[in-house]
Amino acid sequence: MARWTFAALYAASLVVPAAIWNHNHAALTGLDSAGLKLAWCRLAGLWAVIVVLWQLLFVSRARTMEQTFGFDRLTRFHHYNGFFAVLLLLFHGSLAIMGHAAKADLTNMEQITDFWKIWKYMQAAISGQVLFLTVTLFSIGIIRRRLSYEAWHWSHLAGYLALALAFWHQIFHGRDLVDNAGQRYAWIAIQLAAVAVLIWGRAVLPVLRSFRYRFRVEKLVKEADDINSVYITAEGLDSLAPRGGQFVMVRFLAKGFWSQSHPFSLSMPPRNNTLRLTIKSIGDFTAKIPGLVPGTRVMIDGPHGIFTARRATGKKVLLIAGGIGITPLRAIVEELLADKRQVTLLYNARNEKSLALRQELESLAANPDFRLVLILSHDETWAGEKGKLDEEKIARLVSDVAEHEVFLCGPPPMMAATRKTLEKLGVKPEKIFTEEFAL
Amino acid sequence: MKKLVLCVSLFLGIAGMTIAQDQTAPAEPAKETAVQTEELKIGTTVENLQAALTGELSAKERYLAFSAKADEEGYLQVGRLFRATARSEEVHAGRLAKSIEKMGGTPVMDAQKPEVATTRENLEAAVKGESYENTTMYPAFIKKAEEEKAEAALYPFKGAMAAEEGHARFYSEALKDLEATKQLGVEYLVCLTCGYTTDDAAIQKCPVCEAPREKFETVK
Repeated sequence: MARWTFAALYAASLVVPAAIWNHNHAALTGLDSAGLKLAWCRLAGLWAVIVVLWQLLFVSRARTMEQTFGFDRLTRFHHYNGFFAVLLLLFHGSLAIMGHAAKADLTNMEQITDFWKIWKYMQAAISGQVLFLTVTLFSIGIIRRRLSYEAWHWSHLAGYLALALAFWHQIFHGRDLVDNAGQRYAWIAIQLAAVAVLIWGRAVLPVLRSFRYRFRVEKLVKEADDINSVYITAEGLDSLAPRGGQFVMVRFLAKGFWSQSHPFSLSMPPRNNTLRLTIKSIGDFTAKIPGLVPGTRVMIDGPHGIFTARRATGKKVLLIAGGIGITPLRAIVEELLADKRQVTLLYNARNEKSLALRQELESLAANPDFRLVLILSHDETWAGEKGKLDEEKIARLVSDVAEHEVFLCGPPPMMAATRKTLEKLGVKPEKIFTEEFAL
Repeated sequence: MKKLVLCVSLFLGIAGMTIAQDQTAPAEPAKETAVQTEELKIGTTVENLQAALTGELSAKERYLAFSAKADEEGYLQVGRLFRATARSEEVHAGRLAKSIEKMGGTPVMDAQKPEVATTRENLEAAVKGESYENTTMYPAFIKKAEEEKAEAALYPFKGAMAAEEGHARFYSEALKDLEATKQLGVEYLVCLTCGYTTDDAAIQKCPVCEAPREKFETVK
């Protein structure tokens, strides 16, 4: 589906409830100040739910959405859309307090107590609101960076609980829903539909796939300091059609692993019913990877992402890797070479020990169409390119850079800086492909 | 991102403008009944609150007495109706007293002694009293409160006015077929926030103050 179709759907999902709300409040202009606050409170509440349902769809792994936008962009939508939802929820909550307090001659504090003690399902709704705020707080950059992936992940799951907690107060107190059974059933139906899409994409499909493809850990190979490759075997993998550069959400069904799924890139084109993930130990979960036992069953959700060799349409392709960002690019190199492209890979790492997959990259470099440049930022003894990958280096190493399509993968700050540099050097923005989650 | 900002700004803008507009432009006062306005003494809002408070407290006492009389005469449903309206007037009195305190006054909790006649006459008197309150007294008090920008008095007046209109309707219906009220029928629900009285057992939200079902008391 085209992007504008989704944009139109998003807009319509806000406009339609707003139109119904407007119809239900035909006498909006005749309302007094408290009445108006409650009317706006209702619209903010209706919108908040719609926006939260989009939150579910953005992370539901729905294929049509993912093929249109790519996983990373959907995740970015989810991030910003989440803040929009919380903003609406804050409006909804504060307008509800002020409006009802005025109508019942209570102070705002008395009204909150009244909600808590007397109003049915409001304890759940208030708890849901607090949970939503907490989830959002944990997703603000400055706090998110201080949390482990695991802590953030668990906090984020609370969002589902918050949605469930908020449900009943809508049905019992939302005037648009209380007064009109049709609107009430439609409202329940769209919430169930969104949850169904989410459960299908996030739980049912991965389980079905795991049964069908019987993923298992085959072996572990140490690639560099803190970097290990996990080889996973499957049955009849061809029908899943994973592509190099894509990534999968992996859940190892072993003690200490099963409760979380994490995204990892395929670090070589899938072959002989084997997938390879190359993983750097950077968090609690990834630090446990070397302890995985061959034979462990694996649940896989994916493959995801549109960061694949298919994006390249021209002859010359430049790949830029920062650190562990090499993993999807390593897989893409092979597919590009098979497709007779001229490939240059600039691989920026800290030191020799942190270079992952070096040997196989060097053996691929025997192909005259592939040029590999290793750049080490923290290794004075290195005889090759040293320092950061800056404008001077890119311009010198790839003099005709503007004629290339560029695949870029690495830590987000590095990607942002390199993207700017590339654009400065004449690469068109639409010729730069990135995948923030392909790590 | 830009679209998001635009969307939020639009929402905030419209909400802000509408709320601001409402605060500056007082609502149209309700129509007054000329004859009775002449009899009505309009003072300051605090004085009006006290007058209304005395009226509501008196009405409560009167309706309780009417209720006992109706039960005695066998008009059980009318007895129930008067108990419900008495509860409603009590809610109004509580709100009015609170408003007086909010505006710096001290509420005086005096009630006139009720005069009880036959149930038919009591109903007729009650219709008159309620109609006077909801078409003459409260509209005038609301107008005055709006002039004085006395927000604390507005909702108690508006809530009471809306409820009185309902009471008058229930009394008139009972009068149409008084004999039928000898059988107990529907139960009444009274909103404990604004005093709104209804016989709709399925009510979920108060149409006057938007309080939820949980804030309704069933009068048996």
